[in-house]
Amino acid sequence: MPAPMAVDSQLPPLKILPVNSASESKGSIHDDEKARAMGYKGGLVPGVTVLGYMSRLMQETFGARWQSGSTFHGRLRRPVYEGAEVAVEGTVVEAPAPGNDNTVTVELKVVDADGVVAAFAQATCRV
Amino acid sequence: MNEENAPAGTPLTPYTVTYDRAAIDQYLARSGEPAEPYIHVGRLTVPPGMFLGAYGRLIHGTFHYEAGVHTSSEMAVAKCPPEGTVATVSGEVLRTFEQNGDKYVTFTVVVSDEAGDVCARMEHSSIFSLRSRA
Repeated sequence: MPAPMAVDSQLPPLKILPVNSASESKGSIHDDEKARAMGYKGGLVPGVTVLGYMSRLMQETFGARWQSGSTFHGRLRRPVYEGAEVAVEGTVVEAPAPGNDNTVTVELKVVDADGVVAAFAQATCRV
Repeated sequence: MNEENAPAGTPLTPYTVTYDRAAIDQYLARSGEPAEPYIHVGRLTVPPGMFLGAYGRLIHGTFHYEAGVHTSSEMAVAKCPPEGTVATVSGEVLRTFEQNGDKYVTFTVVVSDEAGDVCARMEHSSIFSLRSRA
């Protein structure tokens, strides 16, 4: 299936069951005990893992083109917890054209089980 | 880490990392994705999302803080080298600041391959002193 390029078109979404790969890092915010003491529900899934979900969606949509000459600006808004499924979504906001060096711009977000945006990003990919 | 020992321009201790098959497989297992999309001309390449994770050892190898929270990342990917690449990770502190009782650090990260070519440049922000949410 060709990658979506038109403005407002949606990237094929992903559903991911997060894994907290740093839960054994005692005393860190990924450690259940420490995170609860700080007022969180449990250990936080590492931010780089969550941002990586959006990179994964770009890779699965644009393939090798995502791996050179691309940019990514991501922000983490809310904690993501292990085992609470998230959805990763993307919308094309600027179509590739000669005037933008044939670059597609996509707004991405990670939506948690409560329907709240946990992380968002803007990514560009030369196509 | 504090504002006094991490002024702008403070270099972070560089390190080398081998992006071998085991490391890539470990990353893919964490993000729950298959390897196939990253295989080009029969060779597995480093996923761009893997560069994002290079910051942890860089900042924590230079400064000590425990309950930090990663808040944002900017990344420009120049190329994703093949598996087996030995990369150098380096960077420096850009700024520290305080917002809503949390103390933040922003720093750069550059991942380069054996030839010295830049694979990715990043700018990360992280809370190094977190106010309690309790």
